[in-house]
Amino acid sequence: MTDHQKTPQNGLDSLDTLLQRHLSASTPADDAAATRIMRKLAATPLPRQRRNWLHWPAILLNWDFTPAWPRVAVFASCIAAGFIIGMAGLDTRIDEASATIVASDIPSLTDDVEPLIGLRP
Amino acid sequence: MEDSDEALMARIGRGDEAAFRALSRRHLASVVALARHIVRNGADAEDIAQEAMLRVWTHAPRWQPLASFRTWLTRIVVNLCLDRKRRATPLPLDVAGDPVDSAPGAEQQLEDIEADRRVSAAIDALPPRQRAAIALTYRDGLSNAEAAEALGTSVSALETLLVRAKQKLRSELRDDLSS
Repeated sequence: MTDHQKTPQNGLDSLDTLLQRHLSASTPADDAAATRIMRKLAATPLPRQRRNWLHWPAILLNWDFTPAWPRVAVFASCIAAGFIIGMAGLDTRIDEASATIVASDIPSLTDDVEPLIGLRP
Repeated sequence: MEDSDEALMARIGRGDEAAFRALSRRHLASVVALARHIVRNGADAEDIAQEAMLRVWTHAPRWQPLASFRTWLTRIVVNLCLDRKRRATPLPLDVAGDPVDSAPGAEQQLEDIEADRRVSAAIDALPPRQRAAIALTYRDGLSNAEAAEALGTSVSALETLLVRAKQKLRSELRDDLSS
């Protein structure tokens, strides 16, 4: 029951009844129109759906980006190789890499006066 | 057991066309009837119903089940109807009725058709928003709160629309109401 029906006023009941009778009558034309629309919707491709931009992080989070352990091992090896090559250089043999690092005079690189401009680093 | 509207909407949101067809089949006739009662034009009502269902499809991924699907759909239909009424004034709905035969009771049938035509004309004369308020309340049986939500207005504003619409209808249909 709708709100307006709870407080009948003078002449309101008969108007309510009249309107309900008139408006609630369904016509075969409505059913025919519905069938036509269903046919049209089936015949044409549906448009693109509008997705919220928040949808994209959800997609990424659903994907399995966790690396497998062999890949982690390969990645760690690459890091180690990069570090060694970076410190020793490509022209040094792998068994001499540590000797090169030890032999290099690191304090002279950090503490000596700059020969051209005379500034300390 | 049939899926609820909300379950179908969740599937439509994931791009399920079969769910969209099922939901359309369930609501289309009612949507066409509501649109026809507001715009008072069969062809426009059909266009509006199709447009409303396409909007359901396109906006389904963003739909949140905060209100019932039915209320949301009604709001789409009402907004489309009011937009169309703002753009153009369509021809009034032609209420032809069935042909009258000469059998007993034909006179009563003729009177009913004539009364129906007068009610239709009186509703035609209402402004679009008042007509929408009347259609939502008396055709769809929505409560004042639901009808207000569908119209995008407050309950007190809806009640004002209903009171004004009824005043006009009562004065137009004085003869029908007194008989």
